[in-house]
Amino acid sequence: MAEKPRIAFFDFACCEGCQLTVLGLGEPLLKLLERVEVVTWREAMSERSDDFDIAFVEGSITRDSDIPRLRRIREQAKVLVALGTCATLGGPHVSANNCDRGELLRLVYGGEGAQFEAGEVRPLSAVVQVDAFIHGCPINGDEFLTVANHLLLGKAYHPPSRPVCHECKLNQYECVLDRGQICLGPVTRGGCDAICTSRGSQCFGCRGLVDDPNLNAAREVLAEHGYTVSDIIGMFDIYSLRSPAAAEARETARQDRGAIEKGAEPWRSR
Amino acid sequence: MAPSALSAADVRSVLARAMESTAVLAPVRRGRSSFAFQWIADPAEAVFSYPRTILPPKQALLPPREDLFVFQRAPEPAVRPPAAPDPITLFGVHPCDLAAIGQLDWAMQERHGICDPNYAARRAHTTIIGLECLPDEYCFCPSVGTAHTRAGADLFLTPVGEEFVAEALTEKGEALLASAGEKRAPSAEARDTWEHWAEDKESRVSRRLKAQPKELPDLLEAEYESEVWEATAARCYSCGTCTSVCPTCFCFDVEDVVEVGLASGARRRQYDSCQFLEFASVAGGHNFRGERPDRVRHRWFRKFVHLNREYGDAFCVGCGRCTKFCTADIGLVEVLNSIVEASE
Repeated sequence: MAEKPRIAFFDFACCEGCQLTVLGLGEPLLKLLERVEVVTWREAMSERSDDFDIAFVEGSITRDSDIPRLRRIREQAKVLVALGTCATLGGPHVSANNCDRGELLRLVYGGEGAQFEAGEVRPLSAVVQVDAFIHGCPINGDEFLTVANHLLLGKAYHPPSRPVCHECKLNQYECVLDRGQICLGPVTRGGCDAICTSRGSQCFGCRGLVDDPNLNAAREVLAEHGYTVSDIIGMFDIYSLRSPAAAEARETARQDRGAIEKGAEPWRSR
Repeated sequence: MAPSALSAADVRSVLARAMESTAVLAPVRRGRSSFAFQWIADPAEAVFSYPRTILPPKQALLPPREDLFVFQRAPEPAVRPPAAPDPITLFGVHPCDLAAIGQLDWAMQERHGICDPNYAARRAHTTIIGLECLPDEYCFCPSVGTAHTRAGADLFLTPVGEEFVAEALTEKGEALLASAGEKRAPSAEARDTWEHWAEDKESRVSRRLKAQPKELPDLLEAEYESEVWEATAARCYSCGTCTSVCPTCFCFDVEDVVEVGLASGARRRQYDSCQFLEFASVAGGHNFRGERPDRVRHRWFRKFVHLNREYGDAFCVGCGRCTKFCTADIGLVEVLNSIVEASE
């Protein structure tokens, strides 16, 4: 019996909801745990080890002091997986990049703000090479299992590039625009099974843009539905879909699929 | 077979009879103003009047996702075909959707001399109750000759006032009709409305194709380089809605999946779309239709040139779904007509 790959979970700036999604998987998680050994997972256990093969990293990088820690994780990991939108694209807090940092700190913490270190919000790929991307806020648990399974089997995994509209239609949900709400489904990467539109909500674009978003069409069509430029920008800015960081991360994910693309159980190269 | 009259209550008893031995897929209300085919638990859920559903009845014969076979590794390796499908009844199928099932039958059971076993197994256990309708602004069934299709239906209902005129077209239809009790003839007035339905329906259609389906292959090919494709692509999101909701699109993708415990898995088929960026990308990384205008053009060429020639008719039944549900409000007939006009 070959040695089981050693798995570690880490987090930076995030709500840890993606790790919680993994913890909430139930029976499939127990099956996965028969194939791997989890050695570090602060949210789930007290033991820890610096000897791991696959790192799942949640959260974005917001402080320069985070960088050496992320680099150490990268050096140790045979495979590094960005877990959730904060890690893959920067997440909702990328919007802080558009504000004056000092003013933000004063606004939130009053006179105490100066003691906190806070800098530009970046996805992991802005700092280290990322081998696989699991988008979502939070992630889709089934997609996590698919990616983990692909990784362990040495198969390439490509995040789907089809818009949320596809899954929304297959589930026969009434179009959100017809319900009188603004929606980013047509330009947002699917893979979520349209969970938000199934519950009467709209798509906020949490999985980022598809590989070839038609943003001109989005502007035109949403305007025809009566939405103003600030309505539209307001929606795009929740997950900072227009930010250079998100665009770079998307391009990185598309161009360089890293170790997983190469396949062949990279975590075995111990 | 002379038509007979059914009350709405009679139609619900026909549905109840069908539900005794089959699963029944029927149109139901969905959201504010939409309709969807759904497996019903009670005949009262079905609606008798609706413009169009989001997904066509295709979903019962070629589901959005299905396992072609399943396999297991433990306790011993084995491959099993999917379980035999349960018999089903499709209720409330409009004439355009009946025509579409006829086209799908050809595509999935006859084309290239290949019969898809999963589709054929479902189709062989399918009973269809058709339902006459009146067109809305998206319908263009007369332009593709599907407005009065009955073929495929076992029982066909035309709503006349508060009643229905029922035609049993097969023995299965006869049996269903008999479950509503003693047959009675429609009133003279109902019969009159029923007889004039076809012309009334045609007269209400405003969307018209400016060419015959048979003329389209040559017309479109002459406009291969037309700027229409670029202009249409400028609005298109490549979201695949048009192909998912199309009752005659049948492209799929096949993937082998294994569950995370590695004990079992399946060969899984799911809808694909020629509008997706990666649809025409092949090993080695080349994408034959990596540009959006190429994908947009392909959809029209597929339905009105390639399959039109192969099948002998437009591979489109005029249901209007692709236009109604297009997330960017692109009109299928408008695009075709602008090609026709450009060639005049």
